[in-house]
Amino acid sequence: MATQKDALVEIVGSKNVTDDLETLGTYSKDMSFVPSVKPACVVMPKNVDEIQAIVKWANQTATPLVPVSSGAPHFRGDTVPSVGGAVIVNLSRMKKILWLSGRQGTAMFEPGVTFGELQQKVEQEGLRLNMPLLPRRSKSVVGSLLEREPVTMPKFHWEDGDPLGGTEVIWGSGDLFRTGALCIVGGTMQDAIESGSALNWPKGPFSTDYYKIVQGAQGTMGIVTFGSMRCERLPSVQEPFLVGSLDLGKLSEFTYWLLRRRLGEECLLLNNSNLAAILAKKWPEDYMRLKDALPSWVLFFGLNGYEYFPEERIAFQLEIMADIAKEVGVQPVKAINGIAAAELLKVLFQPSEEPYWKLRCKGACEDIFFLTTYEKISELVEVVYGAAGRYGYPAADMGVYLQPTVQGCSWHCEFNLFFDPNSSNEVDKVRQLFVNTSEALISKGAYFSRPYGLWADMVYRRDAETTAGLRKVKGIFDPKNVMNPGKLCF
Amino acid sequence: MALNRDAYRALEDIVGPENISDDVAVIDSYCRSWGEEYLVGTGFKWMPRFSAIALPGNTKEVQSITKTCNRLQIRFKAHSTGYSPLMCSLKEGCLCLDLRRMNRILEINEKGMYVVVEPYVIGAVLQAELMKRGLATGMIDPGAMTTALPIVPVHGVGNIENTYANTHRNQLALEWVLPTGEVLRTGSLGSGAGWFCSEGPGPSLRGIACGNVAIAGGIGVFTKAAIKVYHWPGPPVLPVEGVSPNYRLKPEQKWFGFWFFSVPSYEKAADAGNKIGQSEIAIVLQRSMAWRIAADSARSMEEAWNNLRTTYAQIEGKGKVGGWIVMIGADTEKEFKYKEKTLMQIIKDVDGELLPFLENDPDAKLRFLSRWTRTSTCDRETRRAGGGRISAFITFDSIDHQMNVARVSTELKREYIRAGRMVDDGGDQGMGNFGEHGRVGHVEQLAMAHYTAEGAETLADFGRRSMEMMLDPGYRIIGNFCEWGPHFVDGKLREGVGRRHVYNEHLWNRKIKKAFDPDNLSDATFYSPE
Amino acid sequence: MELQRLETLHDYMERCDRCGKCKYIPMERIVSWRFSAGCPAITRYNFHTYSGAGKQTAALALLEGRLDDMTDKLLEVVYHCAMCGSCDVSCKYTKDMELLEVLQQFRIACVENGYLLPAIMPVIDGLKKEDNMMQALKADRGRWAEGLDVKDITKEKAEVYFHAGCRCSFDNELWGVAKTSLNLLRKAGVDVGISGKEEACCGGHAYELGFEGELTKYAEHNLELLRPAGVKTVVTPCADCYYAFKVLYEKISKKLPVEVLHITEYLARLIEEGKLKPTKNVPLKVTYHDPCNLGRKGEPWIHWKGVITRKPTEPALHVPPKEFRRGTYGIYEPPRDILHSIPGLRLTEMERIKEYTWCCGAGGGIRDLAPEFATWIGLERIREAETTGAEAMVTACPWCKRNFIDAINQSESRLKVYHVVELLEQAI
Repeated sequence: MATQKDALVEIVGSKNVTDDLETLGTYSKDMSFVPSVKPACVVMPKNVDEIQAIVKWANQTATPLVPVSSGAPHFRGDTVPSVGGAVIVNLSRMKKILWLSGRQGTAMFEPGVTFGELQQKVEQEGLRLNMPLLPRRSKSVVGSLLEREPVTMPKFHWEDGDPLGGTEVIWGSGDLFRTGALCIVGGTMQDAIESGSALNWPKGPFSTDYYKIVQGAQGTMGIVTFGSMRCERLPSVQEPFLVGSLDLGKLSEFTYWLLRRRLGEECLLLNNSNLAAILAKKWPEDYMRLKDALPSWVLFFGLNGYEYFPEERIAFQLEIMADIAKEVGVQPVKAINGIAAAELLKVLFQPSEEPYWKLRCKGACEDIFFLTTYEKISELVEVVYGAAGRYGYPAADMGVYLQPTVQGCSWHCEFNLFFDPNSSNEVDKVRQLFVNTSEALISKGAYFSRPYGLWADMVYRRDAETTAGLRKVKGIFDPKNVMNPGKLCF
Repeated sequence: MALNRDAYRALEDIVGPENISDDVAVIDSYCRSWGEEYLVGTGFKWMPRFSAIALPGNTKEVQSITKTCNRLQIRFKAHSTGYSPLMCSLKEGCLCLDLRRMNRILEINEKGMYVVVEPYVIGAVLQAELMKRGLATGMIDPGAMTTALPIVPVHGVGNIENTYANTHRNQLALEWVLPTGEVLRTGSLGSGAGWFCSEGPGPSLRGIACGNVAIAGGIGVFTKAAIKVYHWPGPPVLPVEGVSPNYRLKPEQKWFGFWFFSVPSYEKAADAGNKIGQSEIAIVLQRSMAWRIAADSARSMEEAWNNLRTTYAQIEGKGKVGGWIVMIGADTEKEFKYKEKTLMQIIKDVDGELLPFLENDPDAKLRFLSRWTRTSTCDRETRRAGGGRISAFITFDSIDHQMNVARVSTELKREYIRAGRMVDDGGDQGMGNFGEHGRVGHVEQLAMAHYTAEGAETLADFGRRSMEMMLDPGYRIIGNFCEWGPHFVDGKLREGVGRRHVYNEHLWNRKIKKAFDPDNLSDATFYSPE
Repeated sequence: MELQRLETLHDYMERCDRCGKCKYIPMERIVSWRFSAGCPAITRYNFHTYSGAGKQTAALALLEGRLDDMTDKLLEVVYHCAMCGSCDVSCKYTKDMELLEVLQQFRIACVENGYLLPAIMPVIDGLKKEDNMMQALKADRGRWAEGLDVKDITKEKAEVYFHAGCRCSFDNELWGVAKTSLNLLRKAGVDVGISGKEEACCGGHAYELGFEGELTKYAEHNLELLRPAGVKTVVTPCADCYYAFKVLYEKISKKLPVEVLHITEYLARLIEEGKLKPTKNVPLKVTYHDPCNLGRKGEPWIHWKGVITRKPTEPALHVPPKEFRRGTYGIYEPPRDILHSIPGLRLTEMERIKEYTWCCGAGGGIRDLAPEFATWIGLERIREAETTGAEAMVTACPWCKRNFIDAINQSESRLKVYHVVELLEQAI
């Protein structure tokens, strides 16, 4: 009688199916606090046909599938099975960059492509990626886009789902589908390209934005086999700035006006702890020194010029920026205590060097992140700091990353709790802090739009109608619940 | 097919006797919009009768009505301003929910950059209130007298979307009465965090609420929506002067500029559009042509027809293709000068020519500025003529792609004009807006014919052929087209052209419909044709 | 239902595509949510049927046989309309249609077909018996002028005929408007006469109610009245009468062979000529209400006879070209000029003015048919006036003044209401 593994070998070949304990162990847990569950095996398909065959087989055999596109380490719990007998569908073999167009500002690629790999290719087309902050080297671009990770050029972030374009997806039912501009009517991809299509509009087809069902789903609706994204142009002139302050309110006010007036592209806020962690080369000396040298909060933003009169473009933006700065009472500068904005420009908008920056401090990191509005930032930061104090976590050690999103309509607030994974005391402390602070934040109006792991229950029990609606959608696209069961509200 | 008396009384108990009517004359006043001559297929000009018209005043009433409809198995369909054939049902006996009483602006959050509205807040009213606070948002092409609710308009495209985006993209959280009567609050709203985010938690039900085209009442009723807003560089109240129809911005205004330029080829048109988009200088980046300028600047159809002689001679008559309308706005003089200089350089680089008709008449520019900013409507060139019209070849894609569409659609239209079947508006009424700084947009081809059986057939035929051409790789306009235009062929509703062609989307669509509306009571004429 | 008179308007009627502009003031003039509405009927009653487009579409349904007959509800809707013309101006901003004319002809058709609302019959019966719209005795018409020692044009000639109008003649709270107007003219040395109790209605109000015959009758009456009197100019303080004399009589080809002026036009002229000198201080902050019949409806009638062509390769064109009346040339400035000439007076404008004014609520027969609706409309305007900080509303029509006073009396408002002439007199 054929085993599960036999069936998968039939689809992808023996070299691409693994069930050795060590490998399974790496997928059975991650840096989050979700319970550890060992998968049954790991399969590595190469193309859409193989993926579709796997999904169809999973439906026939009621086997849970957990799609994984990024390499380790994982942090969110979404790639750890929630039920036994699951098969990890590792997409990292799928590394093709399918199409790049400098003119259309589009990159199309498979889920195994990482930021580093894609960034260097798009640069050759005169483009750059609107990236999340310092993604790890093994991070899949498709994965990041599907997770709706916040991006560091909020000016180009028109909707939460940006910069994702279209996707090709195998639904949990085993059916092939394409979302957005990739759903080409009447011809082939090549026909569309020759017609001048940009292939990066995410909406549709027709009267449903299917991509919004795939995004944020943590692999519970289907498996994306490739996607497209909108890229931005490389500037010809760049003028980065830093603004340091003890007063988060002033910095966020200044940021609000920068975004409102559409000044600059790159824009993000870090606390000294995070910035030090990013910049430090030697540990712990550099880290301590930088942390002391930096103000509590640092805003980084960049003004850019492009094809036409780049200096004049920057000049008028500088004029407006100066007025705003004066009004708010901040001082944008080119360097703070020897740390140059130009240097940060090179560092912040690339994938992280190894080791991943969040792990350099203590070896592990748990993130608390949510979305909120400008008005609530300070209040919610205080909630986290207050909680840190109560649970004995030194607030000064906490990393904070504030990223305006959707052109300033909302803010991604991220608190990075660095801890030693080998210290059970620290692990316990951080776990308690994580759980209790998350509950407190939700009750204060923080929006956990990406409810990973333990957050899922906290979020969905508060929103019965959304839960019911999502279950209906799940019932359509994954009727047999083979896709990552146990995640979200499924 | 009227409501039975028990059903009528049940609904009357909810909205009050003054807010419901089944008088046949009242109903008939609702049964006309536009486009029905090629859309309806059941005999042009009039839509099938509703069973009654009800005017709910708030979400609670909408919910009660919906639950009553479920209990009594009454089909229903809601609309806001109703300026679209999408508001009709193609089966008699549907209950019409006119959301006119739900017209409040509930919150303007300047720091949060969003506003919360009910469905009957119109674009012009919202824009006026936003401008007082230095803000603005997208408004759709059909005009500022239509709903401001972002995902209700069929496509969300508008004059000012280059800076203020396609309205669908400005949708934040939504309050939504589902066909079964539950109230769904999407995104951050459902989580009790406020109106600012439409997505999640996890996957987004907002994806069900709208796609490339609106759901047209097919899955329930939207009762409140948050809209993303943007910075407005102009004054709090636009200094409009004059007496109707001659409104214009006061000459001393210094925040805005308006230009039209034509180009020698579609390739240069694409280059121009891309450059202007990428330079981020424009509030309006709109592909336009001789007829639009002629009609929009005129006070009557005869004047427009006369103007066309001039504008045509200055554009198509010189072998140029319809070019671009560009409007810029700025906060400071330096900014304005930069934007203007950049535009002029781009025009030079693409061998573009500013239109003498506008350049020689500064007053015309001031009138255009006023209209483009406040009215945002394509009325004068599309709807003043009287008779039927169709918008065809609608897809959303890059400027390059859309210039191909413009070329192909213009060639087709000229065939019809040469055959004497259509209004000769210069032969090129491919007009459309580009948004998000030139990243995406559309160029639809507008065609006009008279309100006769021949005219209706001409338009329907044009629509059919446009569909065929969009599905034929030989024309090199393959892309992501939005199903609009003719839904009928030979009197029968087409099963969503394209849907069957692409991954059986029509079947997924039906499943979604079935899941959220098991009894099929939320009229799905334009959402999920059977 | 016999609807022949709508046949000539059929082309325009079918152009309506429910854009919705008729419900609002012109888009470019909207500056707030609060005062964006233009049409009182739909603003109050909300069914699309109440809008200009709704009524027109219902009429089209009848005309094309989709509707078999008038319904009670439709008749009610047709007459819950101030006939203010707001919808017409907003529509004509971008369209070549004749919305107000359709509504007018529809009313006439209702009357011709015997669809008569009981509430208006006493008014019409009163008109037929006593030549006025106030259900008052003709014999009492000239009482407002008792003791004024002014020429009677039925007995002697005068250059200028002053027509008081039914409202001024019979509403003794408003006698002052007529008296003041006359006094100002006499102060300026104008050779003016009245017709006292021989004055008859202009017929305009009845026309708006759908009684076309009454308009014709009174047009002919007034022509006969003026012929022997050597009158060169007719002047009236009433916007309704102005509209009838200036516009409607021309429309039915009974044009008065004299100059027709509203009192504000005449007085503004006299001030400019130096014949009236406002020198006294009138320290008051006011806002001016544009009467519909003086403003947007008051522009001269333009006859057009031609065809609308339907060549397949041309849009529908008027041959010869038709000049539409779009509200552009109404009387907007003369009343304002007068107010500006008064020392100490500060004029502040409401949001809805001139061609996009909000109706006072007195027109279209509403005061008789639906008094609470008339009050509602008036109150809406009072509230708008109050937002300007004005102490008083000034208008140029006694019907407007009356409706505002009645509305104020049913509210907490302390706003005063004046006719322009009353303020000017204080300054002379």
